Amino acid sequence: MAEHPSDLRTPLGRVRFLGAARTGTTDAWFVHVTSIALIPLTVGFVWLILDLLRKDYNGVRAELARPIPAILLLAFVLAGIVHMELGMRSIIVDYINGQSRAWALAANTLFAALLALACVYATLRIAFT
Amino acid sequence: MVQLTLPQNSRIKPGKTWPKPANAARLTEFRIYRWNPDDDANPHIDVYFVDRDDCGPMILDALIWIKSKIDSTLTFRRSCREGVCGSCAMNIDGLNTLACTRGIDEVAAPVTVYPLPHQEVIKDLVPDLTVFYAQHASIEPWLKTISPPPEKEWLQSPEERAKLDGLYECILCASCSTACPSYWWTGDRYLGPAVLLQAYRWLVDSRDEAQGERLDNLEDPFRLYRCHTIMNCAKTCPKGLNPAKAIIHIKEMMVERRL
Repeated sequence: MAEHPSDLRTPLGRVRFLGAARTGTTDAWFVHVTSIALIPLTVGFVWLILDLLRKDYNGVRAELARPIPAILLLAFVLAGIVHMELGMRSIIVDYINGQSRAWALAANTLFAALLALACVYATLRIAFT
Repeated sequence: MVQLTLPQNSRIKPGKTWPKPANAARLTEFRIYRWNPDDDANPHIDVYFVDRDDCGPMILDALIWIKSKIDSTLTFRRSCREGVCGSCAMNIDGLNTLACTRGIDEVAAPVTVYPLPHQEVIKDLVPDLTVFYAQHASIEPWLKTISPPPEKEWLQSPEERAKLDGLYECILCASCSTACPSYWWTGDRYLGPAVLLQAYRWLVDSRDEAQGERLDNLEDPFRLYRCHTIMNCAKTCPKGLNPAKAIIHIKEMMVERRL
């Protein structure tokens, strides 16, 4: 409970703290949007993978060079990573207190951004080379 | 990091087993949390036997009987003894509820009685609800208007009034908030289900003119968005209310004003 240790402040002063951050709604909205988007995208992703399992190396590359499979894969990966980043952020805010919370939040965002860049790069490289 | 174990001085130890009352035909065993701030001892569980033929039917009756007949040092809050004031909220048989509306026979013996969870204990079954009350004050739970007051009263249609049903009944006993894991971990910044239900009660009041300002003060990753719809609040509420639903409606209002 004692994240702001000034015990001589009034209870109301401690509760009001720094005021409302006026954020959170956008995150909550994107959690819902990505959840809904991931339902058809996951079905499409599984269908795509099952299709790719039946192909050889050159067949897989040819398939991923087609616009619909490539876009489907990118949409699935990006929606999934955004969802993952928001979910992990929520877990960090729930369970980590103090200064380590800021470090954990920064690490989470950087990890998600790097993962997204790597996935996009890999998919585009297969699609365009 | 979140604390998953109790500090050494909060670990509960076995306490005293008080003698059974003489000539009692029907006894029920009570195991009650005791902690006295005036000594250095850890909290402990005392065992009492209540003569059911000499005691009323509710858990609160048994606590009053114990305090009157066995151990006058047992400390707890109570006032109305009919589920209106919320004073006697405590953890009975693992569920936060009101001692005055929970029957002894509704609970499997031995009856375990603890204070509301995850709050500082003042003594025995009395939790320190200072922060909880301050959180309630922070949402400014009164009618806020800008228009000049009408000659008689602010009007409200029956339909508008009906929107307050399921909200106005909250007695602020804190059973729901102290049952909420999010409130356990971040209770210094998350307002908790009881206070958010009260906030929604004013947000949805058709006479209020400060909806936007109220939403501004709630829009915060901690104050509002730590609710993960765990639903412990709805399960435990002794008045049968659903704070989680009220919180969802607040979140919907947050989105509605952006679209």
